[in-house]
Amino acid sequence: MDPMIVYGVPAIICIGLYFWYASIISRKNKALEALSSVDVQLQKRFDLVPNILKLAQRFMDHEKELLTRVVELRAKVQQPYSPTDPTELAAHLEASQALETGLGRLFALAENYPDLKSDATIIRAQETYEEVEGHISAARRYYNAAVSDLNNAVEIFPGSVIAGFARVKTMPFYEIDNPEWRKPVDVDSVMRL
Amino acid sequence: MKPEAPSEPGLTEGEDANSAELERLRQEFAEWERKRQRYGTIAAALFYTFIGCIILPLLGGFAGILSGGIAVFFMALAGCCFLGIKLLIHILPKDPFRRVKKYILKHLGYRYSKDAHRFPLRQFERLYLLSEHLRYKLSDIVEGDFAGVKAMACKAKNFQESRKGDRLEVRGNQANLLNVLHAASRSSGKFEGGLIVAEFPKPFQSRATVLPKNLQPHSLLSGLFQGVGERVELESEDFNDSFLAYSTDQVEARYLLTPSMIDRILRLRSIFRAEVGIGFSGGKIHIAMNDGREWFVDPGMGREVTDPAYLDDIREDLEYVGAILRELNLGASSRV
Repeated sequence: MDPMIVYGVPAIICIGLYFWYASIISRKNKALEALSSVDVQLQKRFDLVPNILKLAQRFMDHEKELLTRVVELRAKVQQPYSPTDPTELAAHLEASQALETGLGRLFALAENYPDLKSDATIIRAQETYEEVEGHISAARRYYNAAVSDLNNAVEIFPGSVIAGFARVKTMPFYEIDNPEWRKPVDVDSVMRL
Repeated sequence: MKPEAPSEPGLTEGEDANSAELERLRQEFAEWERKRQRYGTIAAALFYTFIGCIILPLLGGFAGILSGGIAVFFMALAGCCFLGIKLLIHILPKDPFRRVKKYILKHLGYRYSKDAHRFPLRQFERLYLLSEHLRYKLSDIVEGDFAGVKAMACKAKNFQESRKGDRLEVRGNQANLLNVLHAASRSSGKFEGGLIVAEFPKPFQSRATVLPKNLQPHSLLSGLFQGVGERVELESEDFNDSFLAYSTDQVEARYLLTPSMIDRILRLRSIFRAEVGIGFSGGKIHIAMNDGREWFVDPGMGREVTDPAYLDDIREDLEYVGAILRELNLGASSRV
């Protein structure tokens, strides 16, 4: 048999497999980079929570349950996790989402407290919060795009085989799963605010 | 599609306000015209005196009629006339169209400047919205409040030839190579339209650029852009088919290019039927509209300076810029 075929074909296959492997690893790294940028933005929100709670406590005596829940969620988000473990990562993202929902609810309830609503500090805090939420949303989109790329590469054959050897796993999406947002909007109550 | 222009001689306050404004303009221009005619008459008189003072001593000298002292007097008088003409030329408004636009725009609440020295052309080049290797003629800068947004707009047109002294060659540097490719791809098309710089309602630190896909160098090399960062793939297929986005920060690019902003950019392109380039830098949005339209058109020789139709043209142009900014929803109330 022609030595060119004997040595050439396996060499080409090896080079091809190497590039496939490299692309999976670079996608994994990109997803981790995106995850770290999500964490950077979540940290901003995390730092904002104590100030918001301090302000809210002054006016919202009747919402102690919600305030306690937000404190608990904040502590849960603070727990360390392994970014390469999909289960831990999913739990971390879920806790972050729950904190977002809790804070959203807090600001919605603040509308019922005119003193709080008109307080200059809370107005500024709300503006900062909205800005941070905008950045979190952007980081989430970046993360989900990177995860989508990675998951496609890991799940589609023969990428699944190479990913198995390289011990690269799929990563969870950072999804918005807020049941409140699925409810129909009560226009009257919105207009009253 | 042009945004709808006001149907009647264009004032929002109604006919009375229109007539009052026109009357005010007419009076100011009548004053200006009188001054111009007066200066013109004096300049003409000085010119003929100057010519006479040159010719008379020469003829007199040859004929032997004039003495040397008188000849010197005539020469001195010619010198004075020359200086007088120069002074009048300096005082006289050089470009009446500029005066017309300046007056009209001032009355409409805008600042106008014919020269484009203050316009941040370099920013547009840095954001790859305009090629560094082509010459652009910028004129008619209008500054003010367009649809509730503080902005600066100007007319822009490119020349096809590259700048003198620019060397379109590769020097082993990616940026140079890309500039060459960029310039080469750009030089085939022409730019005629306007540039807008406006305040962006959201604070940001990084740089991002959105360019029409057809103006790009080869896609394999497009990721190597230096200065504008790396390629940003967004969720919208339509957007990715029509535009290429680059940014120095992937997250902030998505913060700026929200799904609603993406829709607005797509809508802007289809409504105005223009090649749209958008850049974000230094807290401002930079818009390059290659729409083949002459922005802030001159009144033309055959028109009176206070022609209501010209006032309408200016209003239509201002409304056009306002419509662009409105389409992008850059009002201060919007943070999305």
